[in-house]
Amino acid sequence: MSNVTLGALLVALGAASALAGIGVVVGGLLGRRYRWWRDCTMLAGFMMAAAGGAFLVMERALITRDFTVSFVAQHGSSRTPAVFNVATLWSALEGSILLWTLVLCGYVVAVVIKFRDRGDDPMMAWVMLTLFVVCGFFFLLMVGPARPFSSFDPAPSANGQPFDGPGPNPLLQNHILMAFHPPILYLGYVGFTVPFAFAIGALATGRVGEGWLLATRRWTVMAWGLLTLGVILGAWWSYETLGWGGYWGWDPVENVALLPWLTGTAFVHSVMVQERRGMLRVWNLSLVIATFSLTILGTFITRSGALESVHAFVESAIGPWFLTFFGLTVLVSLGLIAWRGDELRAPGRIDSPLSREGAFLMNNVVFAAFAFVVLLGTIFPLIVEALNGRTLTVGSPYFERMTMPIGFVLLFLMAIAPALPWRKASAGLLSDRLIWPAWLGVGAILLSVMVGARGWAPLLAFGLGGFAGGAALRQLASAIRRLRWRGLIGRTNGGMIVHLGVVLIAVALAASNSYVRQETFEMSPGQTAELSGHTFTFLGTEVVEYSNRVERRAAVRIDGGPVHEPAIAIYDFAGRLIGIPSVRSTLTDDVALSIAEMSDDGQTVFLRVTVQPLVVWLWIGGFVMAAGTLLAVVPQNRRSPISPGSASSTRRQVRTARKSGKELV
Amino acid sequence: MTRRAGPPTRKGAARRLSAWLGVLVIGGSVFLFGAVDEGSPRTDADRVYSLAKNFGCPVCDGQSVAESDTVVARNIRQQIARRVDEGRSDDAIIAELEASFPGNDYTPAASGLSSLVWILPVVAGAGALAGLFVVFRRWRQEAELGATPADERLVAEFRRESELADLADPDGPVQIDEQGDA
Repeated sequence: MSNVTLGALLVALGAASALAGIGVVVGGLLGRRYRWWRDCTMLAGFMMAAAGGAFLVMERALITRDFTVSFVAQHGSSRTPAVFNVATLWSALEGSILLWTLVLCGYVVAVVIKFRDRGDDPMMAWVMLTLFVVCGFFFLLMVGPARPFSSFDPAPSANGQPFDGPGPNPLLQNHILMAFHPPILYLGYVGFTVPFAFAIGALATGRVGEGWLLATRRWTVMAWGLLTLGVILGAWWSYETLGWGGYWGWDPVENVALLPWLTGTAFVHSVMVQERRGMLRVWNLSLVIATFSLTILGTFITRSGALESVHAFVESAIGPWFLTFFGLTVLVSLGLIAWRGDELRAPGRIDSPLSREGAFLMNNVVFAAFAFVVLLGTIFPLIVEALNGRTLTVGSPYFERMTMPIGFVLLFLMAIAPALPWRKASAGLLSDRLIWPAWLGVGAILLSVMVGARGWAPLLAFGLGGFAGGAALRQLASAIRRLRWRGLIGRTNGGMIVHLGVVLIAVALAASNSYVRQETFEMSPGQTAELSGHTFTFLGTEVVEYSNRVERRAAVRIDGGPVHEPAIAIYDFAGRLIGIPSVRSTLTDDVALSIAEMSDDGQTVFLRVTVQPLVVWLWIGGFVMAAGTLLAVVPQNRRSPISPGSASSTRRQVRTARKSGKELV
Repeated sequence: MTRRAGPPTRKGAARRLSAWLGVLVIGGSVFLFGAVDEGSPRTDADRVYSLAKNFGCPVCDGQSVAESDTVVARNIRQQIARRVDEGRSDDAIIAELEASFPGNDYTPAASGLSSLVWILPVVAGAGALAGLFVVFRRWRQEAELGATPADERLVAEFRRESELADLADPDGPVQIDEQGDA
């Protein structure tokens, strides 16, 4: 059986299984036979097998260069190196949707296995219905507008050469991160479907308490962690590939990946308030719905060609499908929230703004403001064009000006929130807990000034970074002192490690943006240029031929040490010429070299040099965040956070404190 | 061991105050020195880079003039460098570029329809803060209303049960962390 036939059959099997799943669960719900969802286990397995099988068939077609598959003919090539041949699957629309569907089906199977004991639970029936609907949508996309398996006739060219495809976009086949960044990003993106399905289940059944949050706590944290890692790897890929020393350009595609991360981050904080105090129900439901909806909106923006982006490698007619699905998701979700109305009213209240829950609430407002700014800036050009036909660009100056104060507030909240107890804090307690983190902040400013840092914005970022880092370290030290190695695991302590990663990233962002230097030098062999205390000696050029490209490299010695070779690559089949930068990373600064222009004889190059301090700490911070996330999902085997005693002190502590007149924390 | 804040004493309060004054004075002065001192002067190349970074390449997808290696972007970079050499201001250079390549200035205008992109977040932020203020004030007022007789009965009942339980198990069952956290 040909790859096209087998792949198309598998996609059809997946679509049919999803639709059958919808039918069975709806039938069960209508007849109050909630157990029927358990009977869909086999259908979920079929979906997984279909998506997995289709994925493997496409990979086989790509690896064996089966150009009878249209996708392979359009995006594959016999000259593409093996690792990028595998990654070609997610370099274009149809393959991306296939990967998305596979990840989604994986989550569905995991949900079925994890919650197999809750056979009679109507909430699980609604959860499965939601998951089947989302799966059905993606399978139908593959049957319709994003069909990965359509046939192609690979006729030989006029000169008798066998057919060969162009290969993926050259930018997508010159860095190893391309093999990891999209799948990890998708694991994060798609992972939010699970808490979304439980939110819908909670709304549909009216069980809007804390149960659904507890059930999905680890799923949410893992999805958030994977999205974080995916975004960081994407920034790293941009930095290493695009060649101007930039890792974040506030490009629409970058922004739409950031949006669900922002709402997801707000959610992982605010769920703690609901778990502990039973509050913020509507808010939490809205956040998880917003996070899922923003992943769909983001896909619409990146795949429809509505906005120009350096990352938009495909444009297609798939946009209206996603826009319709986004609209339906928002409508149904808001309708359910409105329907539940009074049942969502919170039973408690926040006693004082100076409390852990007060800080979380503030944190959520700030994250919501952050998301609003990013969303508005991203879609504003579309709004203006629709209203008056004018083209407008909203770029980095806008985003940096608007998000910088938000970033400062978030760092400040990160510093004080871990020191705040639940319910209410006294000034004395807060003072005792925050004094040495504050000294660490002062130390950070002092050290920065001593090494030559100037300017209020970066210094404030370093100071607040030191303050927030100190608060996280204080919490970790306290936990390790009490619990030894277990002081590193669990949500709070893992969360503090995540905070440390955020601090590293914030400091690296502030330093690399504030003190970046870039200059282009016209150089002949033997000439030396200087920038930011570094010297660059141009040694000469060479031409290297690969299976898929010809590289013209310039050898440049940095600081009299190692030789780096930025290049210009010509992908003859795609007819594209792209720059391949070379980056020297150290713990203190990065030197990025790229060739802006090169004479035909290779005797003159225009060498673009970018020097940025502390860039490597962005990636280290990202991995610290990922490690913190993993530690956060490790259970501590302690009391349930919603047990009656959790929000107050123990009886013994109450009695002792009552006798001694001591303050309770 | 968990360290608890002791009852406030005059000596403790003075110690805290002096520690925070130290933070404010030392941190504030170092910060002010670093914020006011301009450091090394900005070169023409820095200005060219900064201007090029904030203007979109007219023929590229989402790249700035600083980032793109197209002929058009290279020409614009050269034009910026010439204008910087001539001593033109940043605003004048951007205005000239925007006149030649409309819609590519990365900074939206603060007038007309474009101004909404600046105003709306500020209005929304102010609204959110006002909302928080109102909510916290309402919660505080509710707290000040005090407990109802039914609440007091519940508390008394719970205390009675707690004391009985404590008599039965004087060591107490649960240990909580410093933050009262899960």
